[in-house]
Amino acid sequence: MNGSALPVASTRDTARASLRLLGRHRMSLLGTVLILLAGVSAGLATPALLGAMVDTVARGQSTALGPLGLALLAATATSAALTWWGRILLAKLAQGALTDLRVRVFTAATAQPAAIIERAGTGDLVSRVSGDVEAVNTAIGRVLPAFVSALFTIALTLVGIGLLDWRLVLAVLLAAPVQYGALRWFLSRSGPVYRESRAAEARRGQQLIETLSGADTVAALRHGDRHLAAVARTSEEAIGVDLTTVRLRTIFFGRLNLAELIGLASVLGAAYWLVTRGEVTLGAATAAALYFHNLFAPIGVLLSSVDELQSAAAGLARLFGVTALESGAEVRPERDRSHGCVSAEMDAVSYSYTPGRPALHEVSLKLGAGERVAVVGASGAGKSTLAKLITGIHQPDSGTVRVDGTPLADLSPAALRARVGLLSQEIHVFTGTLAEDLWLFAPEATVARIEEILDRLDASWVRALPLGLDTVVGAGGHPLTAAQAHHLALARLVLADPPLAVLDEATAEAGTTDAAVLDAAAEAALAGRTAVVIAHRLSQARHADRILVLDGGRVVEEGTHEQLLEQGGQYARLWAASDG
Amino acid sequence: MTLLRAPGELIRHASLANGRGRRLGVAVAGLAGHQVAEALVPVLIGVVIDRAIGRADLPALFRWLGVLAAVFALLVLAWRIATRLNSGVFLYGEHDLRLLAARRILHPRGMAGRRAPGETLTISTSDAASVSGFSWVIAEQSASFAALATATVSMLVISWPLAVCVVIATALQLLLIHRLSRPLEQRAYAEAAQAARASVLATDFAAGLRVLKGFGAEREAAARHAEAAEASRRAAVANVNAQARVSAVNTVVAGVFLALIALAASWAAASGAITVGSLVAVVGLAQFVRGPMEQLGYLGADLAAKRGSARRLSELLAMPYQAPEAETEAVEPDPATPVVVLGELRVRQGEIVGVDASEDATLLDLLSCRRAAPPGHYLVHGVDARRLGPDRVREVVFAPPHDATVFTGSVADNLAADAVQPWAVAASALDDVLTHLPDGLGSSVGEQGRLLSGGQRQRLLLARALHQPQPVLVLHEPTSSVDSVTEQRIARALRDVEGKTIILITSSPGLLRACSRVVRSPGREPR
Repeated sequence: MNGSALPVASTRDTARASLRLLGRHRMSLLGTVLILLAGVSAGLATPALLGAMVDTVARGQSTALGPLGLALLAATATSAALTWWGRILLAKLAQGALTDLRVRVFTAATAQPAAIIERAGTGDLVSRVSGDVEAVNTAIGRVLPAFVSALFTIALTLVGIGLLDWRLVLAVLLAAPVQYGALRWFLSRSGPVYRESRAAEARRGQQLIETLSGADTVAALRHGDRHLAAVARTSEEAIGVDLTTVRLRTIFFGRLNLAELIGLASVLGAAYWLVTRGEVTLGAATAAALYFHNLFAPIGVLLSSVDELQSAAAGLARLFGVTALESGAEVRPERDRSHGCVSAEMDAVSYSYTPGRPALHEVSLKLGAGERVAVVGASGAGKSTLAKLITGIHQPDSGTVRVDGTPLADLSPAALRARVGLLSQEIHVFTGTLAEDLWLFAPEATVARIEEILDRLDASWVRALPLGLDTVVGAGGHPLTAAQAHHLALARLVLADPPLAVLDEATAEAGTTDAAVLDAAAEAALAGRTAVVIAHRLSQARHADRILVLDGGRVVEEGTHEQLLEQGGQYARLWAASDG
Repeated sequence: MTLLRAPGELIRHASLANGRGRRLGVAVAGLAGHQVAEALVPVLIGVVIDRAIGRADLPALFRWLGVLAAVFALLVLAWRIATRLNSGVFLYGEHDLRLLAARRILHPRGMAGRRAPGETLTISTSDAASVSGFSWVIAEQSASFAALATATVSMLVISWPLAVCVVIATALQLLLIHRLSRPLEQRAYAEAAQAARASVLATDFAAGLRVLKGFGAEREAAARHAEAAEASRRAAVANVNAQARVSAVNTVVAGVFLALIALAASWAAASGAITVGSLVAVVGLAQFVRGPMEQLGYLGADLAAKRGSARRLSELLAMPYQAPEAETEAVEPDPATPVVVLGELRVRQGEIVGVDASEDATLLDLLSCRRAAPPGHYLVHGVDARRLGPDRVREVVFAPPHDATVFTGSVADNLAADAVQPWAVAASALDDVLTHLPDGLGSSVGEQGRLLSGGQRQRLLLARALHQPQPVLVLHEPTSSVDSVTEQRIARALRDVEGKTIILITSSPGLLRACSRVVRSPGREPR
């Protein structure tokens, strides 16, 4: 159940795939870079113009100050306009690429065989399509523009200083080895510490959530002190790791400050040497010192965003890992309903989750067209496994499952879903309006048809909702009761309209009145279909054409309700005990 | 523990209590020192140009570079000490507030008027952090003030008219930028919310993927997600557009002011009022003062947010108790008196009483003291539960909520007992569950028991109940998620449990048949 079943791309594949993604927009990428560079260079004219003003003053030509002031204004305005334009172009480019990617990831991930999802759980998938996409999105939206403009500023500043005198550049570059060393040191330490910090914060949050949301349980157990101690302990652990990250950061920035000092001192030293030899003016020296002082901020931005970009790259690797699963062939949905009812057959089917522990053992079952079979048994008898095999979610270890004589293995996924539907134990109400939820299962259905189906299933509560079918339900919306969510699931079944339906409903946590309504709705939903009903309650089995009793993965009894009662076996004992 | 309730007290507690006040004081001094040192760097660049480079004075160069190094050392050291100390103040202040909130929420006497878990969680996490963040506000604002003061004094030394111009111009500039960019910022905020939609949809569809797959609806979901992703893309680009406009406005306004100050300083230098080095320093300082002044401008909004959080936290801590204070020390079990009396319901030692009132949740709330019974209505060992207090009642009666919480950890951890009782594991049919788990009792149940199915969780909760030391057990629909076959087994086993008094609130005929007697409704006489 643990562990990710979805792959992660290697660093090389990630880099290659990213380039391919951007390569499609090569020309606009080039244009964006040029505009951003132009914007940054206009901005960098500011220190040069200030230096020129110093020179003008030093030469005593105060009349030339006016044009220089105007030039300063023009440079700022040009820089602002070009940067604005460049940022929009960059956003369009990056957001376009991200949208392509997120759509491909979602489509590829949801198209995976159900068995993979069953094994991996949905947690990994959820974190890929939301968490990782958001991490990359944040990097693109916030870190990337700052990183790019810092990078360009640094590069162009070096060019600018070089234009004053190339020896000043050498002086500036004396800071680089210290910065490189500091970054190397920081990255090698920060990765594990940040991971540990996130893990400790997750533990703290989880302990707090469980303790507070379980306050009634904690009170009943009289474990208040124990839980407070656990909250305090996890919180103190998180504080310990947080303080370690603070220590790392302060040391890192301390080393960057050292690099600034080295760079500044050597620029001033070089300026002294060059000015006294008459090779550069005092104004040029001023400009160089100001240029370098202005680099403090972009260098800080550049170096401290490296670790954020690294985590975005990790997210990108997980996203490209999913796109590697894309199947080349586009599968067309099959919507031919000419089958009417279908027959189905399980022929000596065995299946085991762990080798040597069969969950089903040579189970055979024949369903005539339109027949309804109920499956009864204790938890772990193999009921849900049978449901997953007959719907093709799991492939049998041995034996064959056929629908209308065709083995499931020979059907394409789309052809399979057009014939067999599974109403799973999971209750999930999708976020959005009730109609939107139902349209997922029949995009072409009219409102009139949906209403007709809801009436047939006696779901009168829908009309009582504030906005009827347009009521927003799901997370953050109008809350539905467990019984209503169940009712909704049955309506989806009718809309999806599979000729063979398998019902593996969880027992509704509902009172007796709701249970009766739901039983009637299930009856209506299954009318005209071949059906297998996994019965967790005996009342669900009673009206089936045939009842199968499973025990330890084998069929132990089979017959109608009356026949099984007469036999006086397991079913009869259960019935006698449960129905008063 | 003294009662901390008023919002102001909470803010003071987070930032000053337990030796934090002293550390905060040092941190404030450190951050201020750091800002002063930062402000001195452009001043020193000007001095080096003026006195060393301009005059070709080599000893002066070394002297002033030495001063520069000293300033950098101060800058690094002050920031390091201040950041470390203040992080400690913030984190431990938050920790203390969080525990205060948790202690109040978990108090056995409960809260009059219930609060949603989501709300209490927000208060004990983000509000606690916000209130404790006051120490950062103090430290950063003091530092900004120190920096502004240093820069202003430096400029005053150079030329007082220029200093006045710079400070007034910067204030005007910030005001203007604020005016121009506020509407744009609000728009950016709205676009950001829209941009998150694709993510919300993706999470929702992924969480319900099994449901979609059951009917092959994942293609329609993918189509809808693609639409939402496109809408999100447009919103994100619009958001960047709005943000980029804000920063373009910022740049232009700042550029205009910088040009004006530079011109004024240049004319001053040209007329000989200040030196060339002072011109460099003034221009550098004019750019520098923007940061601290902007920071000081946020003070009001910062404080308002903190006050709001402090008020919410204070309201939670001041919630009145649901149950009155206990008056009685202990109870004496007496075989002649019923163990539990609730209205007409009288339960004797060792009985299994079925109550056919599953839809009546008030009964469970009353028995568990989550709701206060009227005086004389609820007796435990013949003593009024109101006089005993919830904690003493819960020593005798174990009445967990129907959907009790399963905690992260192993199956054995969740039994909440010192030793595993094999009879209780068997009676709750947990033994069946254990054969399906990889490590038996040591298997992890996942966050809030999510690795278990509903039926498995319910059996674990029943096993936990049977493991508790309380002589009286109240179970509300303990088998609603368990299949009929297993329910039979549990019913038989409960009948044979020894040494426990069990009250079964259920509508299941199978369970009711296991009871020694059944009460239709607690208000009426037993039949």
